[in-house]
Amino acid sequence: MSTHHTDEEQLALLKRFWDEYGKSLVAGVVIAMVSVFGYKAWNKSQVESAEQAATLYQQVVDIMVYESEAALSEEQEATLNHVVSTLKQEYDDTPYAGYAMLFSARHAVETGDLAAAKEQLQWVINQKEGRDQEIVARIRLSRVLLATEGDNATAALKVLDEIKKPGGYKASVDAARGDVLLALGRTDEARTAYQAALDEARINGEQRPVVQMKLDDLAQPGQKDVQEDTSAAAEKSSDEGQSGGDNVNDESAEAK
Amino acid sequence: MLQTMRENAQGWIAKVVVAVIAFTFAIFGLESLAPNPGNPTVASVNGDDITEQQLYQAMEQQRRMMQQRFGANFDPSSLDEAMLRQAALDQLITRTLLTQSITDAGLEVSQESLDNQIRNTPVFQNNGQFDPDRFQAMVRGAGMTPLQYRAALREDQLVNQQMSGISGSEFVTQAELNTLLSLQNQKRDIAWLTLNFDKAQAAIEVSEEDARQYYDARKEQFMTPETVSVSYIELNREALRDQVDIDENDVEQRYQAMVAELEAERLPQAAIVLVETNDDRDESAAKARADEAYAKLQAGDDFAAVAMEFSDDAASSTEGGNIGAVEEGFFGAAFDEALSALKPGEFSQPVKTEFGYQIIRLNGYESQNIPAYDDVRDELVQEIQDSELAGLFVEKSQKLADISFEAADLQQPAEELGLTIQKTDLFGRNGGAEGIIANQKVVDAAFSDDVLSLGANSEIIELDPDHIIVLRTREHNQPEQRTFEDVRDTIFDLQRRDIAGDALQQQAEKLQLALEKGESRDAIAVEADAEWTALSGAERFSNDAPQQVLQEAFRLPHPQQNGASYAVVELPSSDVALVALTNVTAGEVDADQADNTRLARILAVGEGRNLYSELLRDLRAEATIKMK
Repeated sequence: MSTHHTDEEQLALLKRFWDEYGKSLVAGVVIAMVSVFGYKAWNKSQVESAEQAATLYQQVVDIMVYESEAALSEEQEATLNHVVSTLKQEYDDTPYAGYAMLFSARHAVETGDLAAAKEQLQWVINQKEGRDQEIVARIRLSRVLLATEGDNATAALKVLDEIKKPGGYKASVDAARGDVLLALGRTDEARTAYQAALDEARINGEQRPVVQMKLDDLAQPGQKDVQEDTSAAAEKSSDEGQSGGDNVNDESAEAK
Repeated sequence: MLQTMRENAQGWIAKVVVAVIAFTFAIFGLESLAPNPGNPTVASVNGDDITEQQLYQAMEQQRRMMQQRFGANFDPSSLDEAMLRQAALDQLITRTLLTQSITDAGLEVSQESLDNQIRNTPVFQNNGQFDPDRFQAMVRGAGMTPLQYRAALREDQLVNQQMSGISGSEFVTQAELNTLLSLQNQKRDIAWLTLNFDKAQAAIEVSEEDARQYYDARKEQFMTPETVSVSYIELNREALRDQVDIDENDVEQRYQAMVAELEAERLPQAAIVLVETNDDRDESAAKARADEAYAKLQAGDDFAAVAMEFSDDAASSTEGGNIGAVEEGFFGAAFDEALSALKPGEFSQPVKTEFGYQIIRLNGYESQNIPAYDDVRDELVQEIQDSELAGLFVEKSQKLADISFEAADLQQPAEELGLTIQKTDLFGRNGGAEGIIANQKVVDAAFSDDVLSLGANSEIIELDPDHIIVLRTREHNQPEQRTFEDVRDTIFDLQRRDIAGDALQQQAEKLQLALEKGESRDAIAVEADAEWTALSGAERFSNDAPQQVLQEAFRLPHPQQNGASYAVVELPSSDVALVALTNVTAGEVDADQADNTRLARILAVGEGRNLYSELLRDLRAEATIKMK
């Protein structure tokens, strides 16, 4: 059991404590305050910068999504270019720069400037601003490459292969891969890729009529009713390749 | 130990601890105080909790949405609770993932932009101007505070930023569009031959033995349906009318009230003497003149004569002063007040009105048709009945509910309420065509556990707001096995169809195989005793061939040089078609640039939408979601 200290004793205790730790205590508090307020100020400036970028970005959305029915007017064109380049140069640490460049790439494709689109999509990929932007930019870059004159399919495939983990974007990645493989003349692989895209979409209750049409056009003898088949079955039959007419009876019976 | 703590608590350690705690709250706020036992967590998404209460609110919201969508016929209890819960939880998880995603990405929206959006929302405006009161009222009406509304709006905007960035920026390249158009407009030369089902069926002989086997194998398909009939008592609001006691005094009173009301509505008819003040006659002169006229009237002079002599109102002075029926307020409050104080035949002192001085006489009241008692008695009785019926109906309904709940039959409630027991015909779970068994509520009650298994009276069933019934089972027919003889014809028929279908399919497949081995189509036609119909240059969506044939033809492999691809397809008529594809021509790409641009945009919008669903899926795939 310790005894109660008198007031004098407590005071003396406090003095000794202060002499010993006073400076470090003050320093500690000052450092803590500076870091807290510094962090808050930095955070505030980040938020403000993002708010400004958001306001600029909204102009891009307004022009490209809400206002444009057909071609852009000269004025819209000028605004778009100006806003996109401001975002790219001054706000490249916000996600808005990437979104704006995706829009810019769309505009370039729509005006036939595939080279510009390629550059802009590549910029988005290099930014590494989250996986959404990167994956989307990669899918689109592969498609732009495929649309560009010359032998670009191999490069397009490489762009897609860099997507290590397609995750939820599997259907779109596989559909794009199907197009690239078909361009490379690797028809069997293209068929498998389209089928994988369709299966993934179907699991999630989506229809992809365009991909279905491309797949149907690649049908081969002995491979029937892929629509109802699972991907495993489809892969199996495409592996068997030109299996001829012998198993047609069985397949039709199954299909029924 | 405790003692030491207590002592130290008064020392500097305690102060430091308190300071640290205070500092923590000052920086991180009160939320750092943790869990809430009354509101358990149902799931956690990347460490963010979804609580039971949030889930409950989300479910409520879904119910309300369904109700709005399907209207009054919608019965919320028909929803599968577990399914609703799952859907609501799913929605909450998606919402949480989105919130996390936009926060992580560092998306922001300025206060100014939020202000603008609120100001420009039409429902918050009055005559095109933002109205703060209206805004407050609308937002509170939706069960939110303005601050909450703002927060929700902010989140919406952020979600939209992300959504447009991903999906609005989607495009379709010219090369892709050309490929697509070339596929879409592809033309295929096809031919098809139809194997007739009826003919095949007619050729089938089914033996008695086969039919019996078929019956034995599928006995459960040949049961009589489960049916019930019910007895019920019906309480009809209109039928209670005669039970309302009518006291002749009440009718009398109502008549008097009606008469009083009609009389109150009659307009007074008046006559006046008006003495105007004007340029030649000042206020006191006018007053003196009016007093003079009043004195004459007091002396017994005829009102008409006085009006003729003194009145400045040109229209009435020659008509005995008569101005006809007077609407209240027409001549001002002073006039009305003076007039209402008069009995018929009396006249007032000079009254100062805005026109000058007026002496007013009440001639009498407009005549009004006051109906005779006997003429309106029935109507009045009906009115009394109407007002009593509502209460009586509720009272009787309550009584019916109470008695029939306790009673073991319908006899007792029927007797006590003076109702007759009625009965229905037999009906199945689908109900009947007319009468009360056409009402799904009645059918559900009749087949409910309480009524059917336990033999109890049903609860009160409201057919419409004026009709309620209580029912109980009268007859109940369990599903029974139908005998073979009973269903013999049906079985023969079914079996013929089955066998014919199989045979036709086999025949078609055999023919297909023969074709693929090189047999000529003509030879096959002879063998099948059918004709080929050829269609060259068939388009994907043509009306010139059966839809199933076309679909199959556009799924067939491109034929080899001079060869053909074949397939078998069943038509809706049960006929079976053999389809041949002999040639594929690449589609023309329409050169109309404007059309193509529009088509490309439509496709891009669709693709963009797909991409955004993929974003949502990806958030989920990348997240750690724990169900509790």
